[in-house]
Amino acid sequence: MNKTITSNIAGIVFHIDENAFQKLEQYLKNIRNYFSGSEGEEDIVSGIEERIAEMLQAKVKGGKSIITLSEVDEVIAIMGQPEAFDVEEDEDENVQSGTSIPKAKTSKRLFRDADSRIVGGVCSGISHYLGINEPIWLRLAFLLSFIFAGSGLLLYIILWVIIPKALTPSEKLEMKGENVTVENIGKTVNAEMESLRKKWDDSSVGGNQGVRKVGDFVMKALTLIANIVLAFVKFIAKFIGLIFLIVGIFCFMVIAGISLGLPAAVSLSSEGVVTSGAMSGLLINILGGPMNTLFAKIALMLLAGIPLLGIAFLGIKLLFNFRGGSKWVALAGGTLWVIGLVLAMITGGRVATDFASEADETQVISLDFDSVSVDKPIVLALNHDLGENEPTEEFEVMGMELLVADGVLSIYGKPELDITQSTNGKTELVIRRKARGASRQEGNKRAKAIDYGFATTDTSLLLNGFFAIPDADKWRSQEVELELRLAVGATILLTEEMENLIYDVKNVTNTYDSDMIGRRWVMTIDGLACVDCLGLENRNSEETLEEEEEEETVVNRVERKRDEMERRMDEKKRELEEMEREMKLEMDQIKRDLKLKKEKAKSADEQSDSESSTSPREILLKRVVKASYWIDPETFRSITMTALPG
Amino acid sequence: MLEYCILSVIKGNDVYASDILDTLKEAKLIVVEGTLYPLLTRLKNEGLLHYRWEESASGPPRKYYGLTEIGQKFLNELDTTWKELVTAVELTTSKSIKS
Repeated sequence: MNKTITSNIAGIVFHIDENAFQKLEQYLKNIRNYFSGSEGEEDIVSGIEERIAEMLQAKVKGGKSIITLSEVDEVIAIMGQPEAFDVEEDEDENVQSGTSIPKAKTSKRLFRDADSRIVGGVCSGISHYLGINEPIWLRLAFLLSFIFAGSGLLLYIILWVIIPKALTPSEKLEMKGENVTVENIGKTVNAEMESLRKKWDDSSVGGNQGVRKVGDFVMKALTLIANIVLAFVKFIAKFIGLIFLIVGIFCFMVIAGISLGLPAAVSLSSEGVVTSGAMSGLLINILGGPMNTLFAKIALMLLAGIPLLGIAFLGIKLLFNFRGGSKWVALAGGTLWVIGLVLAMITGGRVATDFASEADETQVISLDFDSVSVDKPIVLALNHDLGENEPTEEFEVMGMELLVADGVLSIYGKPELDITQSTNGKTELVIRRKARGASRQEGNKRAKAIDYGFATTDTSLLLNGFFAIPDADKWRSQEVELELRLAVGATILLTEEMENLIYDVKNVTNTYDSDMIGRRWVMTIDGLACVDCLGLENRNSEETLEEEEEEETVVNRVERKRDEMERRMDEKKRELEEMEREMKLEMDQIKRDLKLKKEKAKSADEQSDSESSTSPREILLKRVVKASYWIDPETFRSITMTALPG
Repeated sequence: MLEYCILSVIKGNDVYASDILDTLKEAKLIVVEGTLYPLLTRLKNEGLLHYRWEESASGPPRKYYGLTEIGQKFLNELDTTWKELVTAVELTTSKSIKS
């Protein structure tokens, strides 16, 4: 069954099957493209359309009511393909009119060349596009790339899917059109320049219409600049396209490598180069069941891979100037991505339930050491005899130590050691194993399964630097916490090796873990105290130093106040000196007056002698007392002494 | 040559594109019909042809082509040239057979 379309061709109504209609439409489009830009384009196309309508009408009159594909094919065969229209005319035209029908200027586009294909015509298509005459080299390159984890194969398939096949002759022509290279861009620009110069020369002969010509020239120049910019932008776009393509494909290969565990693919992590085989092993271990792993792999492929392929697709579009296809590619990509997201959420949920509850398993072991004294401490060191296979690869991911021995991945963790005071007078080692699971029981079971050991001698405690998660167990945030309980008086020597093990061990001097190693520590009633920390900064004494500093600031404050007061005193002194000078002047005046009076008195009467001698001294004293309000007695005395001689 | 034929067909009176096609196809001068339309357009643009619209009984109006004065002159020239050519060719070919 076929859908029928009612269509109007040159004013006549037809019922046409959908596929027939599409073919006819494409045919007319091709003709229009072929003649586009030539004189009388409309006339030619409408003429042909009329003729087609006429022929189809004849068919309808012949008894058929609906136009099918066979009729359209027949009509097209009669009309012929546009390329056949002007076979023998070409030379003629050029000689006759000089302005031949300019062939529609087609920019080159990327198509698959099905005519000279071996598999999908991808290589020959690209060869046409790049202007390589022999596609054999490209084919060889692709064949060679298949060896590298089939990366070329993937690229080939992607290209096969997204590059359209050259179906119509016009597409085939476009496929073989002029090469898009930098040289050609240059050529175009040069040609443009040449024509521009010619125009300029012509216009300079004309002379009169100067203004218009200049305007014309400006327009031409602008067009030229626009063209150059356009060419440049195109070049940049192609460059970006190439980068997109390479990066997209490369990243996709990495993702695919991680997901599928391909041995050849290598992924980069912050730790350096990590083989994806081990990464894949870790993924399986974390995710648990094969179902989850499969889900996660597909989800990863889709979630990360689709955008990367999208980038690669964009790159191809930019690089090969090829249009269309984005709609369904985007649709398919989007759908797959959403599927990936859903899968990831399902898997994430399933894994998360496995982390739901935490359980721990505590084990207290009494330790017996020969004689414990300051001179003979318990030596804390690492147990080097792990009894494991020599690991071939070792790397750290998310705080977990991953070891690969004989191709088997083992997950290790680091225990944490704390040293505390024993409450029962015995020296004990507490091992607390922790793990998570869907239920408490499951977590507990997993915690018990953690493989951790230590060894003791008469004078030493040898702790394993790692705990192992059994190969059969999944990683469910297993942890081991160690607590060494020391009786008061017990002395330990922390060897340098313990640096990675001890974690925030409390001590009376608040010494950092990194400074605690290589020293002896004795357990006192107050806590751990250092035996041989001479020369090491005591963080407690540092604190007292800080306190001293604080005291010093108090002293500073007092001094500052004192300074200020002194300054003010100096000021007052200056004021007093000023007053003193004034008083002296005044006194001189008075003395002079007095002399005058005395002389007067001598001359007139000598009775008022005693009265005048006491009065200036009294006045002065009063003033000085007033001023002494705000100076200390000593200053006052000195001032009065100097100010009032006699 | 095709142009000569087309002009000759049109010479008598105004004709419709299909009529030209029928004549040309009968003479097996063209293979695909599409060839005609660019030719007609070019001849028209060169001022040798003109066309007019004429209502048709069975559909939309049709284009009827006719010769312009220049077209007539051009055709006459072509006629002469053609006859000369034919004579020349005949002369040459008959001679070569004799010898």
